[in-house]
Amino acid sequence: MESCNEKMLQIIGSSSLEFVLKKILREVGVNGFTFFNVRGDGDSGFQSGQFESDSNVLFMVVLSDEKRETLLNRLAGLLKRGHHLTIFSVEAEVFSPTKCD
Amino acid sequence: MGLDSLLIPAVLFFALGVFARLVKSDLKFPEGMSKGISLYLLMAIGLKGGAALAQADLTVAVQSIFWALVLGFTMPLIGYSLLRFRNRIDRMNAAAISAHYGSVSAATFLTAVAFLEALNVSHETYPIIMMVVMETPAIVIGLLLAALARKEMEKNGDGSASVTEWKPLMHEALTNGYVILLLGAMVVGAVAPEAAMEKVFPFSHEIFMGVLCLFLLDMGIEAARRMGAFKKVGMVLVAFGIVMPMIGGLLGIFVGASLLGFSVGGTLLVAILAASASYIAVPPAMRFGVPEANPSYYLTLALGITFPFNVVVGIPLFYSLSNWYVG
Repeated sequence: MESCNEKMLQIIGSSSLEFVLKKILREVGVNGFTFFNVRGDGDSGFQSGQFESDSNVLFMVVLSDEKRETLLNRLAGLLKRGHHLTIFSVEAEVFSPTKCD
Repeated sequence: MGLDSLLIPAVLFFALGVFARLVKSDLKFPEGMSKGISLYLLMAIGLKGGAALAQADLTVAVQSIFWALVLGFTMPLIGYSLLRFRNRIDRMNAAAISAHYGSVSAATFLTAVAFLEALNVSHETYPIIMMVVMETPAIVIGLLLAALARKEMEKNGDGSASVTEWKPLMHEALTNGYVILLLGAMVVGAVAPEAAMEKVFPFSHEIFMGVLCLFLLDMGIEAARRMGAFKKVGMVLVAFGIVMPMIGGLLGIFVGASLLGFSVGGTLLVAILAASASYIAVPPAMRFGVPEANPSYYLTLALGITFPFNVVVGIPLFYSLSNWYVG
């Protein structure tokens, strides 16, 4: 099976940022993304997911090195404004041809 | 007003939720159920309120809206002044926290309705429309206070170049799902013929109190979970979470009884609107609009301190005061 090497970025933030993150991902030109509601605990207190007010969202996106840099620059703008975001980046071997840039 | 005033199923289920959490029971609601129950409760109260408002006096309705706006704009300013007294709390957290106290908690309001119904005390329906109106002004004030704080911080050289994005925030504040549902259900209740409304009577009336009990059970679990964060928020904020509803309750009694001429029941509901703190509409707006503030502060205050205080102490206390004041 053919594959390509890409980066996978995972972004965790408040549900209130969902539409902003989607907008940024589209503007960066990613081939698609997956997101789901998550719960957790940390600096912002316990996020039970029971109400909109304490729900977090996790985005997973596969993208090239170049697009990853652009995306990270955009996310840095959100962090600078005080938004709480947790961002992970890992190497990913991708087997879906449509996800290879 | 003795302890028996607290012995209504809704409050007892709230206590059960707190107890379950304190003994570390595995009792919990399936994911998304609380949101679903909230939607039902708002729809039911909207239908009931709309049907009643269809027969209401327009002048009193307009006066109620006016005083709801006044309360919605004034409460956050009072809260902000208290929090900023002697620089106890930083500007951003003060702005975000005070916004919660200008808005309302539908759960507290519904508990007060259940309380009145258990005592067979009638109430005006205008406070329902006041609840809708009071959701938004506090968000605007909170964002304005934060924007002013940013300017001040920049002037002092200790702020970032952050700017308030008004457009998405105002869109969120004015089109919040809960506001749309409550307003929409009120319109449906007001325009639908009485015979047609009777068909939904079992949905909007008969199961209402049972569903409220279920909701308060979940709120009890959630409140107890938040109580654990007392140490994190500190004594100043814990005191604020109790003092602020007292101020709001007293102001609400004055507005309800003296300025709107409501009965004891209606006055209690206005008092509860002014005393409660939002945990649904305002927190997402503040998380987006005032990201510098710590969400654990305002969520702990609204859910872990002010909500239980109002359910256990505020409602019976403001009822007694309304009784005394209205005479």
